[in-house]
Order: sequence, then structure tokens, then C-alpha cells
Amino acid sequence: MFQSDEDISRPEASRMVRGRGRFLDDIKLPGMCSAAFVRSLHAHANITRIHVEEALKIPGAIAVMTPEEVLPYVEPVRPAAPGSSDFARPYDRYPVPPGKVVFVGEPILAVAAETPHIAEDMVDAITIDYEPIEAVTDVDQSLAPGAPTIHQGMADNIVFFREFGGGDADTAFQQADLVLEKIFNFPRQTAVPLEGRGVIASYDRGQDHLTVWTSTRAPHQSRSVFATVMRLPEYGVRVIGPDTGGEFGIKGTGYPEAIILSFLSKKINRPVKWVEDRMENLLACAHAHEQRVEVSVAAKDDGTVLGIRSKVLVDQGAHCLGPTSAGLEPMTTGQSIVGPYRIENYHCEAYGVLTNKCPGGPYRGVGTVQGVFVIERIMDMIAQALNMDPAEVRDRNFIQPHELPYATVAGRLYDSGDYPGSLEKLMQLSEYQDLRLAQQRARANGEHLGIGISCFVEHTSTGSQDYHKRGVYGLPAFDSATIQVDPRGNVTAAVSAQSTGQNHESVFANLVARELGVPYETVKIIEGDTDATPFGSGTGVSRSAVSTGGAIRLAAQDIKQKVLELARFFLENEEGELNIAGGEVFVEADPSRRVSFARVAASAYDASREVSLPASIERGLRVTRSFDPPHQVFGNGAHLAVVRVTPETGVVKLEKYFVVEDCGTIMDHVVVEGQVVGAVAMGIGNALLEELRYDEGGQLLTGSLMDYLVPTSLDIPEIQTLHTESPSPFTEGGVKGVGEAGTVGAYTAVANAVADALLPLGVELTEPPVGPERVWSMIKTAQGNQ
Amino acid sequence: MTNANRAIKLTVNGKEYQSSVEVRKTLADFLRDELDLTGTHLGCEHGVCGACTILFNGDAVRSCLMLAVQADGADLTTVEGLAQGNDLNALQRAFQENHALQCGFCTPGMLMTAYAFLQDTPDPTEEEVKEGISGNICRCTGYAPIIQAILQTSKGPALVLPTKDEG
Amino acid sequence: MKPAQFEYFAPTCLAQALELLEEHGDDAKVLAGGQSLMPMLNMRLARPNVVIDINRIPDLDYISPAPNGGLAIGALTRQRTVEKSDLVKERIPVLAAAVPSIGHFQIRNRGTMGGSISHADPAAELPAICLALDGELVLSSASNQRVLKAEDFFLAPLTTAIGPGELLTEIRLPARSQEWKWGFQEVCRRQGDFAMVGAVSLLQMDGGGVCQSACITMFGVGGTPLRIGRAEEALLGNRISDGALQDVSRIVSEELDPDSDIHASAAYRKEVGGVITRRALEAAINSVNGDDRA
Repeated sequence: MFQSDEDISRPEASRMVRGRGRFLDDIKLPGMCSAAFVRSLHAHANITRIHVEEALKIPGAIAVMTPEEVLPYVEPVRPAAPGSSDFARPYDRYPVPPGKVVFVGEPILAVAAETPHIAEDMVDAITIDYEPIEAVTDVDQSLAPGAPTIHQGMADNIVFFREFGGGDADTAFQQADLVLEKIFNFPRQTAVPLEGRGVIASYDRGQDHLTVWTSTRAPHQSRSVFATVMRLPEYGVRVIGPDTGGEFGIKGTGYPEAIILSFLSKKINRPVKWVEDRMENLLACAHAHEQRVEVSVAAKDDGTVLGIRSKVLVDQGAHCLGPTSAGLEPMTTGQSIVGPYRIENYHCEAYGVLTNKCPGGPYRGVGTVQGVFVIERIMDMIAQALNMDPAEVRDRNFIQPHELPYATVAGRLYDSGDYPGSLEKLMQLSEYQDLRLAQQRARANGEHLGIGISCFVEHTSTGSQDYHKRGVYGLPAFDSATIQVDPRGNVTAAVSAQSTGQNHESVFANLVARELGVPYETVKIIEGDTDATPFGSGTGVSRSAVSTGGAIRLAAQDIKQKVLELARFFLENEEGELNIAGGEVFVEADPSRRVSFARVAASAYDASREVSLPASIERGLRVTRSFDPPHQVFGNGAHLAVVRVTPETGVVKLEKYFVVEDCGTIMDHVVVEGQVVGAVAMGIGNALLEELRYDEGGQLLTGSLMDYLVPTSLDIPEIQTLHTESPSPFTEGGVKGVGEAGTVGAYTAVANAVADALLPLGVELTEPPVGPERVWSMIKTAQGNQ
Repeated sequence: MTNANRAIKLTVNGKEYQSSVEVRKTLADFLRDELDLTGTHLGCEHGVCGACTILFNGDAVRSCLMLAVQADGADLTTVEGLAQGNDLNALQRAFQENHALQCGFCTPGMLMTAYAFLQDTPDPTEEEVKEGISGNICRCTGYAPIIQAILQTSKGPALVLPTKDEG
Repeated sequence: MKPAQFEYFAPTCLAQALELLEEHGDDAKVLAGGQSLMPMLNMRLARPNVVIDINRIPDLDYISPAPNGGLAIGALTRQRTVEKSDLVKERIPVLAAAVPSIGHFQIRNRGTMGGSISHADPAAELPAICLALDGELVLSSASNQRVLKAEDFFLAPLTTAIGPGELLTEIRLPARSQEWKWGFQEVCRRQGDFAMVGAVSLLQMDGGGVCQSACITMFGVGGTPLRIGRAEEALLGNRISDGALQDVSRIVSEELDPDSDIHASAAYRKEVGGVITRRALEAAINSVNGDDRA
């Protein structure tokens, strides 16, 4: 009998509340020293000379690692190479600057010292002579004729371009009763996990073997990158992911610091540890979300959308972090704009544009937050133009449940979901009509109460087929599980995923226990170590429930088959149906005839005194299976936010929040609820608080958590949730991912609520209302226009 | 530089320690590096995130904003000092029961803040709890289950620290 | 982020601290609560050669009743102590109302009255409160002690009239209790953050509802806390009508000449400064407890 998810004890929680987590910075190795980085002070500059002599004189200084010492020994990564992505423009990315720097904060060289304090003293003592070059700090500058090209070998700064769509947009626009043309802008943001990046690199010169501990969500992909870049065979590299303090997309692969440190460790023959501080994290880890989206929308006067044309311009920063990242936001936004709606005519131009700023990488809700913002704002604008209720406009356009699986004109296949049903449930949950009445009363009273809705689909668990459709190759999109039963019946499941807060240890243990029919306490999940886990993509794209979960289910089925086969030797060669529950194998027709799982397992290892298996039976109980999601699968949601805006100060107060969430079959209700609420909080921060700002010279102005603001407990209202399930026809168990849906919904629901609150003032909101100043300015602009 | 190290004597989780520390070393780094009490975490080192919260002579403080030398003669409690041996206290159990943690990185700081808060406000309203933890950032949970865990604990008997170090 | 090297002293009496200050002058920074200095040390934005830790000096941590009905507060008094003090609530309720807006309770456990006032962040609450109350700052040096009025103390962002070898040792605040109405309002990005704009208003009304004294100070709108004399004059001798409040709001906006930063533009601060002053006055007039946060 499996455990209810409310009751299971979670080993990961047990050690965390005792302060016994083992995060990267908690790891101490014999002989370990500390590293720090000298980082570029210029957004775009040639490096003419590096002076390290003074730094090496400091007591406790050990060594430096300059670009010249690394460059001859590395393969460049081609983040946007043909063959990796058909639509990305190739350039070579080296882990150190090959003569010029391209963003403020770019790591140039590493130092090693006995303590982190001395390492920073060394950094202070190093001077670099630069020849500044003109920098481009936004998309328009970067695309302007005559703009400096950021990377050698590229003709311009466009690192990704794809045109796609379907139907006949021209005709749609000719037939329109209403045409809207809008430009949406999105601020630059970053994930801010509470634990920054960290790496311990330990090169064993005798074995010619590199071990890297790194706070990462993708240990095997990380290993591949190390091996490729450093020209080592995979067996020459071991990556170990310890407990990870959140990552929300940014602790993937492709960071140069880890490569530089690996060379440094080799040079000094000692393990080297680097722990990113918060300023480095904000400056140089990975930025996201900065886009401009230009849309034209054709609609009928009953609110039906006939067609959309869109141009998506993503500010990609100075580098792409990995093979998909050139097209990651452009394509995800471009494909998300059609939403859960039946839009049959669509044309999109999606650009990734390089600028001299921190490289772009994934941040929860990648691209979808912007696409959903666009279409949901459009829905509200249509409602406003046609004097309809925003919920009604959406109802006019939803894809109906019976139409699914539905191939969208943007190139996706929605698998299952009841989009109108989710909105209907939201209306009931939020008591929508009462909210509108309350709004009327508030408005009569001169108060600015706003109600915002967002309805969306969220793609999860991309598999290789979908990557190929996008023109991306060479990216592993499967995950694996090795399930082993030991001679005494205990079970381990080693998986390719890596938990960074998703409670894999308990969720997957519970899944294994359920699939095998054994007690939860006898199952252990192993993650994070490439020597101990099978190859796979890792965590990300809200995939683990589907891809790792899928691999676990397949492996468990195989193990179960073998256990049942062996059990027959214990049950007088019984030929009828057998099953397993509560750690016992039993005969379905006569459950009193049974044998314990443990006794059966022993026989597989010749450890049983009761049964000796014939030689023809393969010894051991160990299976590795993989699961490659045949399609992306789509969760859906409907969110509603209620805000109160004070126009004279621009302050927004979030008063209520409602979520209807559908992530297919739910594996663990507690964890799903936690992911949704946590993601909503993040989306609230994105909508109201978070913004990275640069000056015209490419210097980051928001360099600390005093300037880049994330939500505290006082920024989050009560969040009421309702869960519903539309199982996917494409996954094991009908499961879908859920990690990002809350952020996607909240980013837009909050923005729509502010827009709704400000409608009486004539404000048209086309960007998230981050900060009272922005809201106040919008109001001033609207007043000026009247 | 003269005067780079100082001898200090302090009590942490009921146990006495003597050490010689570099004067520029923060209290957080001292606890983590010298005493191997790695439960106290660093999230920002500029006093915003609260991950480094400990009790300093009974008061919740940001240990990244104190120098180790300032703790000479002080009585500190860190997250490792909450449980009585293997037995979690009611607050820790409430965090587990309410799923008040996901990645666990903010958790020690949250627990210490919550402990201090409940000492000060033993019978809080939900709003008071929200305000009480507003100086601690969590990126995973959205705060709701943390607030529930603290409210739940407040309904039970007052928390006490273990009487001697059994950690 | 680890501090650069420095020499460290922890004097155990005031005289010793003052000698050290005299000796090291500009090479030294005073460490009190550390909530402002330590982040700067950690980020290496401050690299003093010498740090003088005054936390071990006895007898600088007190809240004493003053003969004039006000309070004398030792510079090393923790903000949390002020927050919880019944004496403060009774004698200077506007101070009791403002202190909880300073950061979070963990910060106030260490942050000191003297530290915050000496640090003089333009967006901080305490300097503006001090100015509104016509407070006095006692500066001690090895050879001397002098008393400065708050209006002469705050010179520029993060710059006060504390001279070489001097330490702020006491803050003297006159009583402003039952006969005064007070209001304290600020606009922040999040609660506990530094204010983008804030206002303190103190009004003394006579039995007929006519304003006899008015004190309006603002923070976050200039390099130092500002007293808006023109707005105060507009209120004197009048009943405070809605019209009067609109006038004050307009005057404040006219008087302000703030800078822009990443949180708020000059235009925002200028206009919202007027709004927030009006609200502080409304709070003063309308409630028994004039505290409200935007």
C-alpha cells in the first residue's frame, strides 16, 4: 500500500531542518584552496596587457590562470552552430576572452589562494590594460547599420533568426473588424536562487581525471561540456551535484568559470573552490526576459481572433549559454503567443540579438511569460475595444477539449486539457461576479481596484522530436533511471535528474515504491553523481516528472517482471497471475500464497537458501531504462489577481490571488502545491519588483539585492488553489510538468489586474508594472494624452 | 599588517570554543569554516536575504554583518542547536509537516528568525508572522507554508533550546 | 565578498575610543551596529585601514528622561530597544512609530540610533525624525564636547558635521507627545526597504483647531533630510482644511529638487513628495495613532 503524499517523511527535509544539508560551499576537501575571478570592467574592449606580479607576492597567494594558459588547450563551444541549431548563427565561444571582452563581469582570469579573502586581495592587486571599443547595449543599437560586431566570424549581431507560422495572415487581416497594433516591452530579469553558483574542481594528474563538484541541475550535460571543451574522454570527468539551493533555470551548463577552475586545479595540483557571491551572480551569471514584441492582431467584432503577426526581439546579451539558448526565448515566446486559443493564421519573426551585456540564459517561465503576456493583454484590449467582459473574449477563442490533441499554427501539439473548463473553475473559485460588483462599488468610490486574468498553456518536458522540429540537434532530451534491488530487498533508483528543490528524493522514492509495490522506506533515490547515475538530460523545462518519472516507471515495470518471474520458483512454479503489494509477492487468485520481495531478491544474487536459480537466469536485479518524451506536453492554468492601485504614488497592493492548475496526473499533491505557490510568488516578483538596469556604457546599475528586488513574505497575498487533471496521452502515467506554470500565470495576471485598475484613467499597459515609478509614469502619460 | 588575528572565546549551542581568528573574518564564515557549523548559509553577504540568521545572546542577527571577533564572550545559537539530540523541536517538525521548505537553503535562517520571533511574540496573528519573517527571503515556497508552520508552532507549548550540546 | 584587510580595535571605554579616533583620523571607520558598514566592507566599497568597534564601550546605551520632558538617547542604543521602549512611546510617539520601518527586526537588533544618524543615508527615517523634532546631537572628542542642532548636522549624502576625532555619543530629542499631532508616511518598493519618498509631520493645534506650530521634514528627496519651511508657514495660524492640504502639497512639490536614481525619478519624487506630505498631515489630523505606511 503506497504512502499518501501528506504522510511521507521526506529525507531531504529532515536533514535541511537540522542544518545538515550538504551544499557546495559546505564541502571541504584536503588541500583545497580558494579561487576568485578577475572580471571585465568594460562592456566591450580589447585586452592589451594583464599585470599579475603584485598579486602573486601576497602572502597566501598560490597561482593565477591567465587566458593564454587556457586557450591552447580548449575546444570552443559553438553555442549556435549549424547541426546544433539550423536557425542559429554560429560563433566560437571560448571559456576565456580570446583577446577581447564582451560584457562587464566577463571572467578573464582566475586566482587561487589559501583563503577566499586572500583570493579577493589578489584580484584587487591585478590590473588590466583595456582598449575600449564601442559597446551596444540594446537591441536597436545592436541592429543599427554600422554597429560593432560582437563576435568574430559573424556578419552582424543576430545570433538567431527564424520565420514561421501558418495559415494566411494577409486574408485574416483583410477580414478583420478590429485591428490592434501594439508593442510590448519586457524588463531584464534574473533568477536569484538563494544559493549562487559554486564549483570545486579537483584535477588528479596521476589519473588524468577531473572531478568537479558543482551546483547544477544537469550533471551529465555538464560532464559532456567539460569533456568536450577540455578534450578529455567522458570517463576522464566526474561531475557531482550536491544539494542545490534552488536554480530556476540558471544552474545548467555553459559557464566558463568552471572550465577555468579545472585548468587551475590541474596547474596547482590541488582542489580549488569558487563560490559565487551575490554581486557576481547578478552581474555575470545569466540574464533573461528582456524582449520587445511587436504584434498586429486581427479580430472580428464578436471577439474572435482571426490572425496575428508578431516580431519577437530578444536581447540575448553577449553570449548564448548552450546549444538551445540562442533560440530559446525567441522561439518559446513566438510559439506561446497563440496561447490556448484557436488562432489559425499566424506569422512570426523571432530574433535573438547579441548585446554587450551579461549572457542570456533560462529563467523560470522562459519565453512563455512574455508570449502569454502578449496574448492575454491582447484579449483584455479586445474586450476593452468591443465592450465585452475579458472572460467572455477568452471563451470565444478557446480550443475546446474535444479538439485536442491540437496542432497549433505556431508549430506545437497541445496534448490534452480543458481550457474553458479551467477558466470556468477559476470563475467559481474567485467568485468572479462578486469581484466585478466589488470593483464597481470601489470605482464609484474613486478607488482603483483591478481584476486580472491569465489563461495559458505551459510547455513541459521537451523531447528530442520537439527539439528536432525546432531545428536543434545534439541535445540529449531523454532521462534515465537505473533501478537496482539489492540482495536484501532494498531498492535504489539512480536517476539522471538532479533535484534543486523539487523533492525528488521523496517524490521519486514514492513513485518507485508504488510501481514496485514495496514500502517507501526501503527505497532510496540516487542523484547528482555522474559516476553513480545513468546518462540523461537532467532537470529543466519542467521535465522531471515526465522524463525521469517515465524512465522510472519503465525500469520499475521491468524489475517487477523479473521479480515475478523469480517469485514463481518460490511458489511451486505457479503459472497464474502474480502481483506485489506491501513488499510481498502474492498469487492474485489466492493471496494467502505469498513470498516476501526480499526473499525473492536474495535468489537473484545466489544469496538465498531456499531457491537456487538455474544458470540460464541472468543474475542480479538491475535495469536501466530511458524515456524520451515523444512530445512536449502541455499543462494549462487560469489565474486571477485582484489589486488595488494608488494612482498618486503608483503603489500596487496585491489583495487576492486565485489559481486553477492542471498538470495532468498529479504524482505528489504536496509537492505540486508547493511548486505552484512558489512559482506564483516568483511571477508576482517578476511583474512588480524585478528589473536589471544597465547604463548606456553597459555598466550594471542594479548590482545588489538592495537594487534588484525579490518578493518577501509581505509581497505575497493569500493564494487559493484548485487542482484539476487532464492526463496526457503521451506520457507514462499521464503526467505533465508543473515547475514553471505558476510564474507564467502570475506574471500576466498581476499585470492584467493593474491594467484593469487603471482603465478608468485611460492607461494602456504594454509592459509589466515593475515599480511604482513605472505605474505613475503610465498614468502621467495617459493624462497627458487626454 | 599588525593585529591581524585575535583570540576569542565563545559559546555556540551550549558548547565552549576557543579560537584565533582573522579580524576581518565575519561571524558567519567563522561558524562555517572554523567550527564546521555549515547549517548557517550565505545568500548575499550584504544583510538582505537573512539566510545567515543566528541568535547572538538570544537576539536574531545577520551573522554576515558581524565580525567573528565581535562574538568574543557571546552565547550563540545556530540551527544545529535547535534539536535535542536527534529529536527535532516543534518548529522544525512543523516545517517538515507543512512542506515549509523545498531546496532548504533559506531554512536555517528562517528557523532561527522564527524561533526568535516566537520568543518575542508567542501568540501571533498571521499578519504578524508575515511581518516577522519579512527579513528572510525564500525563492521556492512562496512563504505560505512557512507562515503556517510558524502559526502551528505558536499554538503549542513555548519552544526551548536544548539544555546541553548533544548535536 | 570578503572584506579587505584592516587593523581592528575594540576600545573598552569612551576615552580610549576617542584617542583612537584622534590618532587615526580619516584612516578609520567606526563600527557600531554594522548594518550599514559591514555590507560596504564585505563589498569592498569601503576599505578603511582601521576599524574602531565601539560596541564594547559601556554606558552609551540608554534611554533617559530629560528634564524638558524629552529623552536623551545614548548613541549605541539599539533600534530595537527604542522600538520596545515604553518611555519612547509615551514621550515621542512619532519616533516609536517610525522605528519599525527601519529594515527588519534582525537589523534593528544590531543597528544603533547613533549609527543610523551618523551614516546619514538620505533615504533613512531617523535623520528626518531627528530634524523634525529639532533634536540635538552630542559630539564628543578627546578634548571637547559640543552639541549641534539637527539642522546643522546633516550636510550632504552620507556626510555629517562630525569632525575629525569626534564621535556621536548622545541624541537629545524634546518631547512631542499628547499635545502634538504627528504623522509619518513613506513610499517604499517593499516594506523595510529604504524609502523612495517619506515625510514626517508634527502639528501643535490650539483648542479651536488652529495650527500653532508645524514641523514638516522629508527624506528620500534630497541629499539630506529636508525641512520644508514654506509649507510649515502656510499652515501656521490656520485651520487645516482640504484646501490648506492641497496648498501644502503644491508648495512641497515646488520646493523639492531631488535627484533621480534607479528606484525613482526626480519628477516622481518631486510630485509624490507633495502627496506624501499631504498624507502625513492627514494622518496627523485624523487619527489618534498617526502611523500608516503607504
